[in-house]
Amino acid sequence: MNKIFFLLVSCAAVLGFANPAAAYESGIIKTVRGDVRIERGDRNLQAKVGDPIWELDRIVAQGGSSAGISMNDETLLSIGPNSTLVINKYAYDPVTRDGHVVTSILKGTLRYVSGLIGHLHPDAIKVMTQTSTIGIRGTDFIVQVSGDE
Amino acid sequence: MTNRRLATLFVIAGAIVVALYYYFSTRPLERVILLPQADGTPSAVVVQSRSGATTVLDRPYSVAELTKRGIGVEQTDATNVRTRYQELFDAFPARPRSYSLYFETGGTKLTPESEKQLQIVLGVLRELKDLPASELIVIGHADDVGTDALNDELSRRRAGSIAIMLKSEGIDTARVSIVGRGSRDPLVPVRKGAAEGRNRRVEIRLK
Repeated sequence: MNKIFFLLVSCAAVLGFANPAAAYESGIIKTVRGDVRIERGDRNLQAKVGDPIWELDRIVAQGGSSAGISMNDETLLSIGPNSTLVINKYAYDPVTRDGHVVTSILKGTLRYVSGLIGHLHPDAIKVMTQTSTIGIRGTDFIVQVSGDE
Repeated sequence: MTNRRLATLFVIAGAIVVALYYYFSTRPLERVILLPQADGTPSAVVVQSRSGATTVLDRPYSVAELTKRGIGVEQTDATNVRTRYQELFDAFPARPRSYSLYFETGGTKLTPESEKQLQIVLGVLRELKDLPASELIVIGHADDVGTDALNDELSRRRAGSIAIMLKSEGIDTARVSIVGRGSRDPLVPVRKGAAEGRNRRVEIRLK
């Protein structure tokens, strides 16, 4: 009986990760202060703690607002007031830890702590701004961008 | 007299132009600050501007400042960064916590030591499971005895057995996932085919 249960759980786990619909969910909003929006396609959603973040989402924190996000591979992010962050590309395989994370900070401030993908494939991780590209070697850092350029 | 006035006016106008030029060409468009790693290991970021200038930051609290003229590097400190970017620290998500349990060879039976430790881990998890939007990730591992396919399956079964046990102990957040990493990620690297108890484990990660 127990064996069948294990088998079911194992199958569910495998199917869960192979399911393409689940692959779009890349992370979760862990903290929100003030007015934070998720722009997804032509939808504009009010961000709440626990909301999923998808590849291609644009996360916008208004004045006096901020947000914290944890990605599936344990990349941790926070953005400060008047900030816009885009998840350009995201893929992560929890079994092999292959994947890539490309994000852009269009304005404002970002703190970025790289996750499990970074330890194996440093070149798969990039943070872009209007004026630069930041490559990462297992790192915790802050980027501040002037919004008017 | 009017000539002198005119000359003064020109000098002032000239000075304003120079000051404006200086301001716009050296005004920072972007700052990148390297923070120390939580575990103290070395790290670095490579900042490459669109115009082709490249700088490597590899000292904690060094700052790359991008202007139209290029990239300048300066040094700041923890206090300064904390004050200036307070909101980023306040909003930052909690770091994942990890607990490991070890198994007897070839199956899903915990070692006697891990069996004893289990109550402590359960106690900690019970207190933490109600953190906002918490996620529980149960990652199974096998040592390098047997085929990769068997080890993948065994590691998933180990993770599955722990996930079921956690649920029966009342530790089930809305998001639980099970991963079997086979023998890809040994805690202690050993030669292929060698049994190693420290590699037969499940990591319970709460984030």
